[in-house]
Amino acid sequence: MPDAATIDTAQLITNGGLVQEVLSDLVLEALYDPTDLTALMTRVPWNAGGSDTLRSTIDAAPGAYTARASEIDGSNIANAAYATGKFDLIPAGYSRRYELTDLIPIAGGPIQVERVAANLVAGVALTMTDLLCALFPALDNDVGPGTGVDLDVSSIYAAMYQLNSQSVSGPYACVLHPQQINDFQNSLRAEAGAVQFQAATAEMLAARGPGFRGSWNGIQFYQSDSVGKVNTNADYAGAMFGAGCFGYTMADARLMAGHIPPGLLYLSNEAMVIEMARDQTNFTTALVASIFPAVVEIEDARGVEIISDV
Amino acid sequence: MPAHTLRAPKRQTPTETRDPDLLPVGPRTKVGKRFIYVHYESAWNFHAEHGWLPKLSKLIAVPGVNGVGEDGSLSRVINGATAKGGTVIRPEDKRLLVDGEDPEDAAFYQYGRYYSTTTGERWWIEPGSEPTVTPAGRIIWNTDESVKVYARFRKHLRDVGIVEPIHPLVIAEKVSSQQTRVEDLQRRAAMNPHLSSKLAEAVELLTAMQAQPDDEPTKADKKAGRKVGRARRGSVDG
Repeated sequence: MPDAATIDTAQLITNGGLVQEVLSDLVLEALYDPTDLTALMTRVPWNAGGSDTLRSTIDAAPGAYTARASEIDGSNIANAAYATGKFDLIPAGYSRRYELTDLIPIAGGPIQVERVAANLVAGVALTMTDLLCALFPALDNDVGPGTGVDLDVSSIYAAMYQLNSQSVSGPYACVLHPQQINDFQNSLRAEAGAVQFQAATAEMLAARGPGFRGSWNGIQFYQSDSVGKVNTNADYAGAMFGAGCFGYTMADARLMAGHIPPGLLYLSNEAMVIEMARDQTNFTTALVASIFPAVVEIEDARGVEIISDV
Repeated sequence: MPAHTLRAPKRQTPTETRDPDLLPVGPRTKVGKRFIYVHYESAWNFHAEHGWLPKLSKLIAVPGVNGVGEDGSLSRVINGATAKGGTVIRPEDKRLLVDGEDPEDAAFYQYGRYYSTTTGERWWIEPGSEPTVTPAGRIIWNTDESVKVYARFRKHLRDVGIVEPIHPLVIAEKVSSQQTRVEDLQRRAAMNPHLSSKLAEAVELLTAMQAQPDDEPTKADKKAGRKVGRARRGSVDG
């Protein structure tokens, strides 16, 4: 028997005296941007009516009355055009699949089917954020300090002025790439004058994680790494917008659940379906999640693109 | 079993090898999506070398976005942009060919181009973009060079008349906007010394904007009998 003082781990393992490795129950999430911007869009309830297209109506803007001219020149009142608009939402299938080998439940690690399913559920919000940010480069109006120039306070004011000029009601939401937020904070930090003394300026400079970054001059700032690049990767294209600029729908995923054998249906609700697929010859079980979202720019004038250096 | 010597060992490819022709995509990488350019009449910006250039918006062709279906068809989104008064820059427009170049080697014709990635997705790029992949898998884009190509692309769109020439009143609008920016910077520069260089740049840009356009009248200008003149002041309704 070896001397207790000289026993090392290797000897114990060799002699079966110690379990080689114990997997901690603590699981740390890998770094990612969990920002969910779905709430910044107007939800349009999905109605399945035999089409993949959901068409909604934008009501005509009310107009001021016209003076009756008949008393002066005898003419009748002209008919005013009731100018409505339309926008279409066409859901598309989005899915994600994870495959687990049979060894995973046998080994008994902390990452089991439940955790993988939770991971799939978290992916729904990320998808919606990606889709919303894909709408920004299509906005007609844009502001910015110029291509290749860091975002500054003046550009944020310019966006605010532009929305105000279009009579867009506040509060406004502003979605920027983390780099744009950094540049904006940098500009705020250097600003002397009225802006310097606003409590909101100090608030805006506070460090926070992804997602909501604070409120400044009535604008709700969000950051997301889903904000894309334009101008051949020279600039990011964020956006500031008012309510009603963008809309979304989630087609009812439960309606497809009838196609799935009940034993393989893991989760089914209005937003998503998770089904299991067993491949016994390859000894794996897959979890496949599906959603059917659509996003659309409802009214272009309610938003402005913010273009600044990467 | 009698003693025996094994034959030559099998060789194994190093597991970290990656196809050099594929762009590496990690879990946090945002891949460039398929797109088409559209131009709206008021979207112009001033370029020091080329004068007034059309500013292009990107319609992203992602299923579920702005009416793009699962088949990736852009017909609805193109109709929507056209209804808003936009000019869609069709990649197959023969006018994108520069001086009779071969379509196979064309710089701008069929500008929708992509790189393949390690996940099988396509990474769509804008004209002039070229990636460099570092050994650690970082992708670095040639932004300094690509912005020059992109400016030439936009100049070409203007010169061959794919987009309508800028209206003098739009120039006036842009000049007025730049004037406002200069005045704003002048007000703040006294208390914010770091803005003095920005002010100088803004004044320089304003001066260039106000000057007679350097460019000769384009073919489209000549065809329409339009004079390229100094900006006039106007106001906008609607």
